[in-house]
Amino acid sequence: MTDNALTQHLDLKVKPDLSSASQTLEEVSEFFRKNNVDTIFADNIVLILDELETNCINYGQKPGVQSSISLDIKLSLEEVEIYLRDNGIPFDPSEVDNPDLDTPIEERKIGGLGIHLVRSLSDFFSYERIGDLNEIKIIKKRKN
Amino acid sequence: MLELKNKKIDTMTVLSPVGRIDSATAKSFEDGVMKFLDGSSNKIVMDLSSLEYVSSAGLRVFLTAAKKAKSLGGGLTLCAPKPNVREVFDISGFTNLFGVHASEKDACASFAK
Repeated sequence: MTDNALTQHLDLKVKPDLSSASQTLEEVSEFFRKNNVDTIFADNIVLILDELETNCINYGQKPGVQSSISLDIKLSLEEVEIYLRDNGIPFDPSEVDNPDLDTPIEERKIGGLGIHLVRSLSDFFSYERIGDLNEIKIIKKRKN
Repeated sequence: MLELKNKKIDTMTVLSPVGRIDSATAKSFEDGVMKFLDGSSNKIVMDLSSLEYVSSAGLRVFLTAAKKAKSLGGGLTLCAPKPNVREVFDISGFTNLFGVHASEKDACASFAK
């Protein structure tokens, strides 16, 4: 994404507990409201961030290490570009298998849907381990 | 915040979650839903018309409840989701798994079949 005057930025630090993560998502919603982003599009982004942050907080924290999660959002007229970085356990969501969606209720496994939602709702998804940071990049196009 | 309304229609229980089901509210949603699943109550209609948002933490509760309902000889079905909620259920494969009906009436009728 090339930055220009029409690109809006939001940078946030996320405290590693679920209620603080919830507040962060409120701030993200507010950012989208102020920028007149379609509510369904905004809800999709909030859901993506909710799933990724919840994963970091519930499963990603290293014992004895102060967790740091940061969020960097760039919104242009065409798309939103998101970087989520955390210093937790190395975890590559792109290696998670998709759930089997055709399994009957009795046999359907509980769980594994979060990453599937994130990937399904994103137009671009990548993961990189950079030093001691997990970096996830997501792009979602704004369709009019 | 999440509120769970309930009502009985014949042998069916209609549950209406009001608000958001995310990792912060999923546990209270689960506790609420499970109260309505026992030997005498095993047919659940989830009226989603007042559900604003659901994440995978909430989806897990729908699946757990559907498994329980099925094991009790009943089932769980859905009605009237908002478009963003509907999309999440579609992506998860839950639309096919549980059935989605336009109205509470249609959802109740599906149990009579």
